[in-house]
Amino acid sequence: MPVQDWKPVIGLEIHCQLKTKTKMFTSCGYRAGEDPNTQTDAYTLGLPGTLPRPNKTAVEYGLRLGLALECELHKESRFARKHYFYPDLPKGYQITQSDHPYATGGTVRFPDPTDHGKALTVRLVRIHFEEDAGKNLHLVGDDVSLVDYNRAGAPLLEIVSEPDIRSAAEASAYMRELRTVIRYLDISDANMEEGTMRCDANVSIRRDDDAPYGTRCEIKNLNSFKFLEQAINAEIRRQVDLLEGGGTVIQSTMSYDPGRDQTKVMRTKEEAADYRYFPEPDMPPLEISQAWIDSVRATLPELPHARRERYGALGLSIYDAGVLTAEGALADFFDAVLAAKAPAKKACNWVTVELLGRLNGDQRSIEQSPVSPEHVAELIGLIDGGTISGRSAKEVFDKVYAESMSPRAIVERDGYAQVSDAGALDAAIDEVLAAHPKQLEQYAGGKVALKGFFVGQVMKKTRGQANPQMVQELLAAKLPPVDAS
Amino acid sequence: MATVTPEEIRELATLARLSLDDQEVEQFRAQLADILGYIGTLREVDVSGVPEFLSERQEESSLREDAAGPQFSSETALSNAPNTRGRLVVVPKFKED
Amino acid sequence: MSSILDWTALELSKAIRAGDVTAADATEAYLARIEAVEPKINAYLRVTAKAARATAESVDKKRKAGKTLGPLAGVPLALKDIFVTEGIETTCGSKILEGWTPPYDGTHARRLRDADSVMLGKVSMDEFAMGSSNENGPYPPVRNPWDTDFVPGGSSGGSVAAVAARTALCTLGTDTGGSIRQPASLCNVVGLKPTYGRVSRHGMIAFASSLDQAGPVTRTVRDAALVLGAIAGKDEMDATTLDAPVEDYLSACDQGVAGLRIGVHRKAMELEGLDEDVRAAFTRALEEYKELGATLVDVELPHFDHAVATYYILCTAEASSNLARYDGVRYGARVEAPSLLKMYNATREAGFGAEVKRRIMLGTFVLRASSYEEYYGRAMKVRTLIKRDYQAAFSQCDLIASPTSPVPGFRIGERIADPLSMYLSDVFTIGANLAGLPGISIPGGFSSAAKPLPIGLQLVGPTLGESRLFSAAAAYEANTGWHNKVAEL
Repeated sequence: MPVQDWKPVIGLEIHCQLKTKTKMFTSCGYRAGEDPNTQTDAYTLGLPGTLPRPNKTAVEYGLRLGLALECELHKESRFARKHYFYPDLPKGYQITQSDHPYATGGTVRFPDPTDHGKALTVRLVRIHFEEDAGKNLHLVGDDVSLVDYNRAGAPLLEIVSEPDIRSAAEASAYMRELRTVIRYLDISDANMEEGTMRCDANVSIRRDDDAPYGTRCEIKNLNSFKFLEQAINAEIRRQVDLLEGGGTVIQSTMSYDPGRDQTKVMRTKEEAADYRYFPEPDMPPLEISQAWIDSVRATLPELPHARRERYGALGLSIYDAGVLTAEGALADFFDAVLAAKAPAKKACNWVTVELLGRLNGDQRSIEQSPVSPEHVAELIGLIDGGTISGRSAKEVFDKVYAESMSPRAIVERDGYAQVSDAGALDAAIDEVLAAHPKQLEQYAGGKVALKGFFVGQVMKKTRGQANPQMVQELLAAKLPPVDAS
Repeated sequence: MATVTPEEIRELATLARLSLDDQEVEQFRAQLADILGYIGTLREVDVSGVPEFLSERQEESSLREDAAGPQFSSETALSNAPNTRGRLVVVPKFKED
Repeated sequence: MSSILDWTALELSKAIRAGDVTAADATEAYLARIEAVEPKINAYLRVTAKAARATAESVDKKRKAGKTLGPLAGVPLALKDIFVTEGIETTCGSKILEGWTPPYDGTHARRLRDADSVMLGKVSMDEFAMGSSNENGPYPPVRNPWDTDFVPGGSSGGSVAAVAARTALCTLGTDTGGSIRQPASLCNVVGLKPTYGRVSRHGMIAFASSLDQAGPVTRTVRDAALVLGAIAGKDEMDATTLDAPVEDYLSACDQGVAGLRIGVHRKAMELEGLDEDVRAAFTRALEEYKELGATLVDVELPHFDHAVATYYILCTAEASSNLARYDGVRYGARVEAPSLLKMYNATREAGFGAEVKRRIMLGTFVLRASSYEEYYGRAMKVRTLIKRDYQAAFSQCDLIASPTSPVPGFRIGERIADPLSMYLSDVFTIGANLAGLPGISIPGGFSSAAKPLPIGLQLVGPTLGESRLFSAAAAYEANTGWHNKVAEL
């Protein structure tokens, strides 16, 4: 049986580092990339006598995500200790939430990556708070390992999905949507390359969609969208080969080797650590009042799926709506263009094709755009009002992009305005007709296609600035009647 | 009396990162069996419907504002570390798992 | 003429504030006393004479500059070595922390300094506060000033022995299952375990986080009230501290006991192994309370018999977790080894003593996924029942009285080989820790032995009932005067 005859079942555990000023349980600051062991305090190092003090803003960020994903928020949740010995884990345990997370349930909705017309839904099991570990460094050729505690204690949310994902592409799309939501909420950079968003994937396979789940394996530490997809596909292949060969899948923790494009077993369930969870005695249960929940809800921005629906109602395609909403800043930009009275479809075209094309070419973000939303709306207004032609519009846009000036100012400065003055156009038409008596005669003789030639000559004479529609109308009045016989 | 095997004692010691010699294993085995026998008397207590003990509720008051407090210089951070190199703490080479 | 050493903390601080005597005089008197008697007692792990003299000098300067001195002005005191002191080695009585110089001050050290006290040094303890005899750990055992062949009790044995031997006027101890009250009972001093959350745990090295509380060891009830007033109160560094106002504990000492209902758990008096002298002293104490105007009420504590088992499951579980950080990586003693696992094992094997290892093993056992429900989960439920027992009892009475320790004391070495018998010596004190309640042990008489040993009386109050404890304890103290007896050294 080939791979395509097996149905994968995938669930993701995603860690996302919150962008608070200080760590989860201590007032020590943290920014990635600082010199080793320069961002610690007594708690971070697990010094005797230190106690955890939960960060209010981290909890608020957790509430934002929980509300955005329509989770059930628990007014009382608890912290727990998870024990294992590791040099980068200062206390010998990690404070996390186990039996009583602050948020359960919830959903993530996103467009099907293989069928843009279809929406997918992945349900969540839970979201909970925990603290990060430091970093162990193993330099090649070095006979020791080294430890940096800067990251130890950084605030994390762990987002655990139900096994609702059915392909590697879906897993990646789910994760992208989650990243978008997290960035909309402004609670994390959610950057996989920088490690502020990390992923473990649980994968099992079964023969058909009604069969019970197969034995799952968990692939650890997937740090890019590419590796996430590759690792899931590699794991599916491994499990298919195993089962096709008459073997069984043993519940295991896996690692992914991108060089070989293979997953391999790190440890089986039997070898798994006993983490000896128990309720954290150093902190009372986390109490979250309804008033707090309500006040956080009031500050939530419009979320990507709601925006996509709104754009859809304006007549945009699901694809375009997806492009516009992938980043909150881009959608904000687009909304500002709409607010400046531009029609949606034209605005979408100018933003997604012309503006994004240029920004991407220059590796600039939308925040760095030299073109403002008002510029875009103004440009569309100039075209629609007949002030400039569609052809000059692109040239004008290039100049707006290069000089960050208003399109109207550029049109005036550089003379892009169409000539719509009937007197001026009359004169130009008269001159053109006088200069081409032969063609005029042919026209009168029935060669009506020559009308285009006269229009072209008028445009040429006016250096392209004549309003083509007016030229058409005025010319029609001046041309001789055609002998149709 | 509860029974505890030497293997169990060794497993516990591994989990707790203690390396016990044979004499300690036997000593702890006997003492733990004794103590487990004693604490096993809790099975007599009817705990049906009883919640686990919780410390006092403190709605939001125990949360800390997200404001930076004092931090250690790397010198201070490493001042008690038994083995360091530059700004890093040194441990025997190990493989991530 | 009375020596400066005879003054209580209340008297001494008043005299220093008034300028009748200097903090330097008091400090010198205590340093001389340490020099004279410390070799017989082994109460101190570290005497910080130089720092003490400097502090005393600055207190005296502050007074001369016309500034108001704090409530513990010039009071020479010592801290159990479980309290973190910046720049002063803090070992928690363990080899694994030998050489650790903390880069921060705990809340206790800071608040005591802010109250203008003078710290003389760090006093001995059972390793990581695990024990009832001060025999656990790498240091020489602390001796009971009343009979140096006897243990001073534990785990705050150094704190108590120093006050009894007058090598410190007050000390701080910690109490997880009776570690302040039991030794206070054995050494004829006052020891208070406050309500859980009344005093910060920040900078107090954790043994069992949900049970640990710091408290004063003093000669008199008023001194205990004075010290508690200086260290109690909400601390933003400890999320479990209670946000309740700190009452005027000294005034509470003058309230008397007229009309107070004292609960007696009669069934506990049938305990096997309860010493006859202890029983007699307790019976006498109850009579004295009646004479003082209190009424006696019989109360039931239905889960009393299960307290010790519950306690040993919970405290070992928490200890196994709290002690996971001692891995030789960031601080403390490391035994180098060729692999990480061997380094961990060798460091912890060499660094921890037998009792600590035993408790780590037991705690690891009860927290394993396979035994969690049967042991830890069940113990947490029984703990709820024990708390409810006390709540029910306090609907009928204001305080509960009992002996502090079932025996007046025991000889050094007598119980060390039998951990279970040692654990059972906490039978009267553990309930207050499990229920988070305040308890005090005060001098309550002496044994009939040829060399009489002190016997303590314990009073346990409802949550935040410290003032009520002080009222009752001070009235008893004034009526009996047991606290005036001083160990001959």
